[in-house]
Amino acid sequence: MITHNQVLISLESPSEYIVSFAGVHIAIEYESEEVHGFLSLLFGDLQGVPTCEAETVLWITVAETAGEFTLSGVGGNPFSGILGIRFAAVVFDAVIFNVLNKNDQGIAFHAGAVAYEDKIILLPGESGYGKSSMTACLVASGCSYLTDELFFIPINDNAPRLSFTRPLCIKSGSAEAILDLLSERLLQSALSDQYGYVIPHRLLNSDFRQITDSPSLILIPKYVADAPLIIEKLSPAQVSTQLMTCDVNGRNLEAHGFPQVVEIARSTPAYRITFSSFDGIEEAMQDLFERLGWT
Amino acid sequence: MDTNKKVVLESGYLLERIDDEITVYHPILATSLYLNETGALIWELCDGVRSISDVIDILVENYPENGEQIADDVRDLISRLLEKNIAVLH
Repeated sequence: MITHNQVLISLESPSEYIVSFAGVHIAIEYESEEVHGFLSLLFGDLQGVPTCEAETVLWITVAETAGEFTLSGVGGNPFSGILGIRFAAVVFDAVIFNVLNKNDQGIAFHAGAVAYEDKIILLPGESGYGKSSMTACLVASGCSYLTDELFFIPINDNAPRLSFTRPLCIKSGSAEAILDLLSERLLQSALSDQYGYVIPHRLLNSDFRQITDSPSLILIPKYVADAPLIIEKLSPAQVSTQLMTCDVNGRNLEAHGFPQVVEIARSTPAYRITFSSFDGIEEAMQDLFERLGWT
Repeated sequence: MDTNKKVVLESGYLLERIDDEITVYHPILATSLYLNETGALIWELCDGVRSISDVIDILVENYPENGEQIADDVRDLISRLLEKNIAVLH
């Protein structure tokens, strides 16, 4: 059963967060206020108060090394470190793994998503293709942020589409251009270290609303150093092929969700945007919106 | 590439034809592949019985104006299929 909330986080007791996504509930237990602040940054944008019993429990405990904490309960070896970017990435990975591990109610795409007015733009992409960068750029250009990581399309056509709304996570290697979008004052509110940045999306655009419609546009980002800005239309077959590379939980679905992916590709206009910088993207997107009849 | 060999496609792939193009997904290999109109024709001719030369000859016979390009297209696509482990040569 899919909940009507997107990602639901609530402080159920002084030492527990409940994270719910696509009908799966994860409890994160902790023992210090520092962790509470950290979790609030990672999941604090997410609204809702689920009362369901968690299927999975994760623990963040104080480690033996001063200043470090340990995440455990995720299978494999516990992870220890300071509450920085690497720790955030491990927590996100653990939560996402556990909410999707057995989920067979829909297809989760490794994708960013933003909304232009009430229309969702899906930005699918494998790591390194500029998904987070393009998401940040579009949000800074006026689109409303939904996610930079995961978008869930239920098999049930009537169920809401779900965005895994988390802060923007920018690796250090791709941070330079994005940081130009932020003022120094706003940047101070971000979590950062040598590994990258976790940036509350309202620093880029305070206009935020959850939208649960199907995507109206698929925009596949492709970062290529020194490449000119190009937006090219893709055929449904091309899009299906690309989307299958971003199908996170396909193993849980019959035929890996391939028929559903093809249907999404058939019914949604799609373009590839090749870019090496953010120059001209806002104007190019306005042109595209006009072509689509959105303006 | 030895064009006397036959291209044998791995079993188990899923295929959708959309307009004149094809998208292929192999659940076990978790591999996806896009084939344009030409690629779709080549794919359909790779039946495990025809050799690569046979495939080229059939396409050249039907599209003589693209004769030189066709051989390159066939070799390129088969190389991609081999790289992605979607096909083997026998």
